[in-house]
Amino acid sequence: MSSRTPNTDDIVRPMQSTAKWYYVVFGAASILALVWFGLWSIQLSRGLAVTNLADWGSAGGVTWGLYIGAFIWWVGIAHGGIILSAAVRLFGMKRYLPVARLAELLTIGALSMAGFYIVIHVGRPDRIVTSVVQAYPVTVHQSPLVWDVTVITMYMVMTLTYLGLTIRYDLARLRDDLPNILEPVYKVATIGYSEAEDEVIERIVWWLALGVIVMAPLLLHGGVIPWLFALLPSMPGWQGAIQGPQFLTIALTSAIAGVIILALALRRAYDWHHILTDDVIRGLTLWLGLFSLLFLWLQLQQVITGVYAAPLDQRSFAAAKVTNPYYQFAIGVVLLSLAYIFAQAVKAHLFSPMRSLAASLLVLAGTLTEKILFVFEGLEYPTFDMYYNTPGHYFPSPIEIGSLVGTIALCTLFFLVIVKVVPVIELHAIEELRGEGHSHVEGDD
Amino acid sequence: MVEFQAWNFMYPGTWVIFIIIGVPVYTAILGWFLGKPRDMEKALMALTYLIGFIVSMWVGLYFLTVAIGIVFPPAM
Repeated sequence: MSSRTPNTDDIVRPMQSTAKWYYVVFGAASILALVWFGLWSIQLSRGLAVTNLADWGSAGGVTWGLYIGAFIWWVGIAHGGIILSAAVRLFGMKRYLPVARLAELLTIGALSMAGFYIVIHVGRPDRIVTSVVQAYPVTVHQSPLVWDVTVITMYMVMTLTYLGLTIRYDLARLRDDLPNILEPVYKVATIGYSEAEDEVIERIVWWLALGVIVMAPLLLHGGVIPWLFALLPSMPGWQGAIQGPQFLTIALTSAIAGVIILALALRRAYDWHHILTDDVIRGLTLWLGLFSLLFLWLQLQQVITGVYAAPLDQRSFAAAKVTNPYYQFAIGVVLLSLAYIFAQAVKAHLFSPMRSLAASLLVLAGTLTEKILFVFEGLEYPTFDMYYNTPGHYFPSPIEIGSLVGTIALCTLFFLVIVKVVPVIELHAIEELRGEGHSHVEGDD
Repeated sequence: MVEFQAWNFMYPGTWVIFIIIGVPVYTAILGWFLGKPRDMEKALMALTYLIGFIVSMWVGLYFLTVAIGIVFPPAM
């Protein structure tokens, strides 16, 4: 751990200078995003025929595939942020204060990508307005799809409000060090600010954190998202109350992995080793291990109950699942990451930030693969198989695969822009590290 | 056989969304207005943020989809 003392110059540095790497990464991400927009424009012109969705006869006839799997994956990553930040406020986990805002921003970036996938998946984006919005007063009473839209909107809005309120403190104090060109933005963001509001705003944010920490894990990723699948009676791979906890563990695993990757990337880019310390990264790595263990445990539950003496439709699905090489890859990489996390928990010298980075990347690859498989295999193995005589298996088309590269590039661009606009490390974190702590978090680790 | 039809009284989404899932949001908003330290002006500001973001998200999406609809007109 570095002996340097963190100061406010550290957190405004990204807005005051631009290194060569920034232009290189920005350029590369822009090119990849443009390539994706080019591919998407082909889909917009020719329709979903350019995907392998609903292609029965050669691709298993599934109507949901990579787009919906990636949607769930991005929503899962989005969880890390705001839950981590809410836990800092509610449970006094001050150790993670330096990554709290990064994590909140990850929620916004990742949730935007998840929403974008819905726009992509409906084929014509205007259907979002012409179908979803116009029919909302009727469909919300019965359709899990519309419940999903409702809760994701609430989650996004609560996160934005949380960020909008907490950032006032930082912007008001750091305004002289922030770029002049964005002065109108900072004026709007701090409208009506006075130091007297700090205590009240902290309490308002505390209430918001309380709402988020119940809504996001239990009602969104452990609720309406698994209900998109688990409420359908004819898909044995999707059914069952276990889907809620299973979705939640995958979400939390992906989310912590996302926060570790982001924290390590920014730590290296801005020499924040004394703020985003090894201690913070190791703590996050241990959380990653716990959630990975829960993820594997729930997979085991499903496999054992599916292959032992389950009803025929469930057994058929379970057999297809465990023999699929992609499933074996997904479970294998999560197991491998867990082995490293366990080893470094026992022997601390085995910990290294690069190994934690590798474990996080493997976990994200594993959760993405598992989620895509979950979506399309669930459809390929229904209780009554309509496509029995036209066998085939879904594999995403190049345009579908391109969307993954595109959304990762767009999320990268989001962060490259945001580091130039607002401090991505809370001023509170610097005050805490300098021993000038305040009372906005209660209790200790 | 005992049969329970949740929608005999109310459609499932009506109570799932507006009664159960809404609780964390209602709790937070009630906490802003009734909790201490209490400042109605700041609580209203927070509520404005919340509503403002909902409106801007959906209005923004509306204009985005209209624009995409013009660039890629539906096949007739």
